[in-house]
Amino acid sequence: MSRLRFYTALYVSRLAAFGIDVVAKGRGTNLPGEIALKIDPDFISHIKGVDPDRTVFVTGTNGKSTTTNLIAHVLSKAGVKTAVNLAGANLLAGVAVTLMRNTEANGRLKADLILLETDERFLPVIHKQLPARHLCIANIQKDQVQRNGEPDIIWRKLASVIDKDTTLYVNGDDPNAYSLGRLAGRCVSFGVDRNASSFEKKDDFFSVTMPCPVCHGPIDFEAYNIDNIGPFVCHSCGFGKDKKNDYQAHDVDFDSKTFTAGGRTYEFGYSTPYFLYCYIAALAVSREFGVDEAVIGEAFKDFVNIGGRMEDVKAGGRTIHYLRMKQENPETVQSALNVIAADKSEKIFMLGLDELVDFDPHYTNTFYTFDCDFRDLINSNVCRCICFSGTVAYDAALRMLYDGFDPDKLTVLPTNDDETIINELTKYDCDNIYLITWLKKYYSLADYAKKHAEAKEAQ
Amino acid sequence: MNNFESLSALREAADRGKNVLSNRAELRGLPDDAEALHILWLYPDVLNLHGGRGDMMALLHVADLMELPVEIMRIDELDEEIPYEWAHMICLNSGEIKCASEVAAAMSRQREELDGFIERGGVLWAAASSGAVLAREYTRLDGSKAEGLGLLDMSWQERESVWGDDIWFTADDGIQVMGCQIQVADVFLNEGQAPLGEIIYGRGNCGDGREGARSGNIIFTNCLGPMMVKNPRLAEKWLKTAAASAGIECRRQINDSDVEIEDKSFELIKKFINEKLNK
Repeated sequence: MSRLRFYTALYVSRLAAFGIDVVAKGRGTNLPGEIALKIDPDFISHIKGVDPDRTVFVTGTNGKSTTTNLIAHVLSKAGVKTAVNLAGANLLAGVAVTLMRNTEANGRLKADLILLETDERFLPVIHKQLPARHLCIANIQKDQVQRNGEPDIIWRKLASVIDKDTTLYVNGDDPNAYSLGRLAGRCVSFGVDRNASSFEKKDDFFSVTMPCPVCHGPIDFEAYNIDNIGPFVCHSCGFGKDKKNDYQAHDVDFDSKTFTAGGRTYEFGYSTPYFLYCYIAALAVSREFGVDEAVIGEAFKDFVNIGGRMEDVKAGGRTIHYLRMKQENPETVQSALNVIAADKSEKIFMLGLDELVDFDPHYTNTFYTFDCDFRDLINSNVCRCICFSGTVAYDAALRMLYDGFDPDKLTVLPTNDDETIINELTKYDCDNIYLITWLKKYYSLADYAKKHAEAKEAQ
Repeated sequence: MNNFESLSALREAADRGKNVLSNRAELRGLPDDAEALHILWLYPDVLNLHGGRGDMMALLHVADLMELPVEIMRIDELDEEIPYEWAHMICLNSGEIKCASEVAAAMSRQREELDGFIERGGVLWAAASSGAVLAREYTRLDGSKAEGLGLLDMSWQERESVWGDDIWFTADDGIQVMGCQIQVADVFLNEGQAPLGEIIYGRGNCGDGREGARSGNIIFTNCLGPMMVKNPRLAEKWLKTAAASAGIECRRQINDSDVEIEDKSFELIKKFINEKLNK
């Protein structure tokens, strides 16, 4: 009976996927999986030929999509047939779709290896059906507090699937992630040396670090490669002392876009610091699965990421540099701020925080911006800051003022109207414009700017 | 717009190594012998959630507006001696619940001095999860129980799922407070324990219309924001209370023009909440 249910789920979901592919290719990342799981709730565990020792989950707060895509690219170059959810559908239904698409008509997996980006919160649910023995953790940071609450809640969820059979690939520069290593049968850690883009916070009275995951005393970071990630030690219990990562990026050079690891030089195409951790994580996982260093090097060279964190949009004859951030995720905001701060030329800074609409109830959280430091940005020659939002424009303005921004250079637009926001730019001569906002607002602004430019051309 | 120059100047000049930040140099016309209000900021690295450090920036900023000299002292290490006798206000930002037992243990090591601080009328406030530190006891999801300091007669029960939303309430002194709450636990006030305020919108302690808890000058709130940033009149009120307990005079009251942006934020979010309620 259960096999009948499984085959029904397989064929119906394949039919659904086929239909969606015909109508809108690339959109069927979840629905066919939902159908399969409705028919057979244990659909994933009923697929034949799945080997937990050849199954890798990539999870964590930030960087899991890029890391998964990088590993998949390396494996592809190495000729490993991989079932992977490149489209980022990382919940149970998305995983079901990925496996369904890589399953023969007889219900047997037709891939050599399964590589899945998995949502950190739903990892235990996915793991129950697909008990992967390889788990790569990019980091565990503050994120989506409306559902995640605090990092320790995610830590506990990840810990629940780690045992002596697990090989853990873990960010050794993130105390939370690294502390999970002691639960695993085998722990492979990766990290990045202090480099030109690393920063310190020790000169700020208001700077805070984080509690040690072992003794709960304060962690001391020697430096930050990205926010709350870098060489660390707990002076209370010694956690992190004498730590030596198994894979370490040395000699990071952002000009030549190279780093060395294990005595070999690798080129990387994406030079923001956060990407380095994706590269070194991909190196660790790929090497542990026996991929040759030369193949990895070649793959890193021509890797193109799906959906970058930086994009440009033309508006009124000018280019707006957009930096993607995730609301409620201080690390992505801080990374975006750091990129802008590195440009010392005169600039307009547009800050579009908004109410949170990921889950019900929608709400107006902006407190995560106080986990970030805006001072380097403010001191990087910002001639005008425009804070816009229908709900939290004034809160964003307050954040700028609290870090010392000149109120005379501050414009507050309490609106989400694209026309008003783009038109505000015409008041200023500066052509160097940076925008931080959430993705949906960016698409809306970019769409308006594009249509506006086309209409102008047609006149 | 608000004048934040003093705060910026202080941050630039601050020597983090000293662990004390004073606004005295930025206050003009201050008598040489004017006593400063002493604020203890306990374990900011350990209680590091939800932008709580912004509350400390706000206390400094509001104190500047009040022309009130303040000194803020960080206590970073859990085994460090706590100068209760020096303090007039003690602040506990929100932290991960796993840290509550260590914080409670660290604070109770000098219990007599802590009780002395309370008897003198010092203000002790805790935000969100750090309420567990002040509670009589708290219970984790796995059923394990731990004792807090027992300063507020309330119990604290970790939730299966997190609840996040806006919160809008009237504090016990009539000030309307706006912020957010990230509820990892339900809070139950025992009979006789007064809340901090009454809910206008939001969940508050456990959805019973009550927000936070207050006994004398010991205060717990679920409100984040940072709360002091978004609600400078509340910050002023608590600073005044602490100053009164120390016999320190506040030379100036904040006025509407000082908090123009905060007031506009309040109105905008009030509109958003009313729209939510009308849906």
